Amino acid sequence: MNNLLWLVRREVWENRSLWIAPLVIAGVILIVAAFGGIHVDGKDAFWVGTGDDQRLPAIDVDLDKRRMIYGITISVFSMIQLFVLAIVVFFYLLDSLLNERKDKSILFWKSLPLSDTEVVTSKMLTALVLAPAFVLVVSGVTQLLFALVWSLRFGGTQLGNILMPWDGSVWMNVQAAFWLLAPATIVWYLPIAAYLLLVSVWARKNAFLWAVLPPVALLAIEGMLMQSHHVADFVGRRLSGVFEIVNFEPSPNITADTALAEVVRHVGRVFIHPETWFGLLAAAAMIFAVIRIRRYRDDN
Amino acid sequence: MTAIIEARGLSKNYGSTQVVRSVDLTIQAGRIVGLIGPNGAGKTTVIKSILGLTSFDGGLKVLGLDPRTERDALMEEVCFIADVAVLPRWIKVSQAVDLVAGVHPRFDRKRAEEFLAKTDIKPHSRVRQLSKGMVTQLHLALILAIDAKLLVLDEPTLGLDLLFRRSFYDNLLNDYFNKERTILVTTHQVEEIENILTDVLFIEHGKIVLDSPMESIAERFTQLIPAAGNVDRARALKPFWEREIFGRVAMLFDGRNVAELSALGETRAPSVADLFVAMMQPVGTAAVSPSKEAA
Repeated sequence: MNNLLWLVRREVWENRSLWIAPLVIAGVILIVAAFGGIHVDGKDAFWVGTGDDQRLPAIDVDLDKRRMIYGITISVFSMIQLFVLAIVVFFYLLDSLLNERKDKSILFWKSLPLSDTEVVTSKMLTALVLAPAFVLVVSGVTQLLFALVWSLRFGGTQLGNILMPWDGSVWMNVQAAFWLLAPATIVWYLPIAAYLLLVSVWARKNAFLWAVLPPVALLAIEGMLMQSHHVADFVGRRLSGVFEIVNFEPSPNITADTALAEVVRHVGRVFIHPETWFGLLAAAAMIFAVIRIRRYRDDN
Repeated sequence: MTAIIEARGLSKNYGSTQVVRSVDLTIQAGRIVGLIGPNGAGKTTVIKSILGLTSFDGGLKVLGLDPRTERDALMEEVCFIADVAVLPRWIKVSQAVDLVAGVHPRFDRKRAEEFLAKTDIKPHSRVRQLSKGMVTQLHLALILAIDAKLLVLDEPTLGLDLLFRRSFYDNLLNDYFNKERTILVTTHQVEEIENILTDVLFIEHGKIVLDSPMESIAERFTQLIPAAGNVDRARALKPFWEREIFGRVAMLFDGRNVAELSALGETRAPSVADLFVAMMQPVGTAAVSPSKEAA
């Protein structure tokens, strides 16, 4: 346990992009909120979509709709931050076991009483627990700062009335929804993380190509030979996240106050879906392989 | 007395090439052993087997443990510097000290800090900002502060200048070595370490060709520079190696009586470096001109 803490600390020291990227995105969101060219037309209408029907005249917006708009907006902020995190974590995992062999620092790590299991576990923990938790905290704080920026900029104006800067209960609901979604999402993405580590420990170079080529090749071969797209469906489902497998369809009368309950009800289904468990089995097998391969992997 | 390292029939194949061929060796506690051999002789493979960094065939016990299956336990008692500059380039000096202190139960933080205080290394520097010599000093500071039973050094001073190399081995002897500790070292710079070694192992084509304590080297081997008229008589005693320098012939004998040889000319104990060259180039090849050698 002590070793694991030190190893996670080492990942934090080494991979500063994991911490800097979410902060940069938070900064971008706040700068856009403060200085972005947000357009309000002559009728004081606020565009939430592209079609005319999605245009909400300011005077017609009732409080429920305003709270919904607020909830969706801050959820989108969180999703942007999590999406960027996913990209950073993708490359973090892909490089982590390759770089230590490239710069030979593996010889230093292996001279310490640290087992391969501990090293691999520390990387999984960093990628799937620590970094996402950090991003969720950062996104919560971003939304608090957004409240400050937005109320200073649009307080008292029509736009400020439509997209309210702050609603405590909606904010709490959004935080709760994302934290509750996290375990299901981690379990769902575990096989992908394990696959990336496997490529990282196995490849001598070009880890990105080795990670992307096999699924793309399979998908192309299947398409050409059988004109079907099972591989593409599978990869798409694995990448698109947990809402896809539980067929999440928000009810038509969803409100800011019922959204959390709907999310919770659907997310539970992830854990009873067989594909989740097949994925976990595959992940366990791949992690086992990663640990075994790192034991004797030697590029020299 | 239990052996620190005990290998029986240690072998390693890469495909069909056998890089280590059934090596037997025993290293006792409190020795400083030099493992010396030309490039590709299998030195690094033997070292990697001992450290559990590679798979191998045959029997090998290090501190009574099997490096293949008990590596995690082994690494609490063994430390090593394999290759120079393997410290991660991003790490800060202070982080490196914190980390080793955190994970190594036998690390003495004060010792490492005292050692570092004697160098120009600043705690807030990152490894990538240090010179190659300083990286080695930092690594040495970390390793010497670990109370390990066995220290393995694989070319620890490669590419460093003479001053660093000299102080590296001085530190090793003065600050580290004692009766309970064992050091196994490989290097190309044989001359620099032969004075600190207690034992030498020569390895060639994956086989141990000489395994001897230093003191018996002088007893067993003699170098003779025969007087002008005695060259043929000396040759009759079957030197296993000879070479000509400035018109004089130097010969090496194995197991000949020194008194018998000194009647023929000047004798002395060969240096490990001389012996190494001689054993890696047996009779005949040394006299061959480079052009024939190439053919």
